Amino acid sequence: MPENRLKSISIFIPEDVVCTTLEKIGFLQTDSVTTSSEGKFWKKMLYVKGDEVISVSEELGDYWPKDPVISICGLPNTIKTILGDLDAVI
Amino acid sequence: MPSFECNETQFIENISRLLDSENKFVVNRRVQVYDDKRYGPAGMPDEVFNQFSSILSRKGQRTSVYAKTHFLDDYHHKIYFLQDMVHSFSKMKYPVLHIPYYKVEYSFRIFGSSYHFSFDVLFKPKISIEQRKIVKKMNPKIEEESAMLIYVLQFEPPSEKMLVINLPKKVLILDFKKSNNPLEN
Repeated sequence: MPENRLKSISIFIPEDVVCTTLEKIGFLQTDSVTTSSEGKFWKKMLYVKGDEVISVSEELGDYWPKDPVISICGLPNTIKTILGDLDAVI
Repeated sequence: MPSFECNETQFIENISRLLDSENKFVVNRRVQVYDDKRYGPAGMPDEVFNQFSSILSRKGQRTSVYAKTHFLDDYHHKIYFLQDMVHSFSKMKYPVLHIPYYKVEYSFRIFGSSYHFSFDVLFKPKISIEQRKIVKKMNPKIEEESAMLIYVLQFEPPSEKMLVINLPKKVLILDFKKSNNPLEN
């Protein structure tokens, strides 16, 4: 049984496209909070599928470009699929 | 001992590389609730301020914030009246109405250096209209105790799963309350 691995990326893709990509492969959003770090405010959303967890954090406020931070604790195949799907969007 | 601040991506990627290299390390975690007037409604981006829009008004981010109606801040047991200024960057050092939060701090040490990542998770505002007993200590302007229907602002703590970075089970995480290392305090 493969173990969960870690991957964190910041990517120039709108948050709604990232979320749609995650939902397509079976992840469900379970919660959302406002966080603050590095002097910025973020909307942090948590997606869960079994033991695999992904957080998507997008900076709040008027700025451009949007580059949400995606942190994955999931199976190697899941990480590969997500990175491949997001690459295809770019 | 050198100490390095990381952002989320750097911290997680550093742990990922350490796992790949099979180095032994321990991740320290401190989660503590704060209510130190750090976050007030004037500094909030519109997306967050809109959650308060039934009781507060402002012209834009970093402008003065006023009470739109009478309301009770149930978390701090304080009552505000219509047109009370609750936060202003130019006129107040600290906000009168402030938002409690959890400070989450992660760190690990390897090869004589320590690596840190921290973030704050704000409590969620919840606004309702309720029958409440209003007492004198809630505001000096109150002359008589009474019961009334009033807007009530509550702050709900975020769930525990939002206060953590998800790491594989083989990563040893130690929770702590206070460190003797001045760099970590």
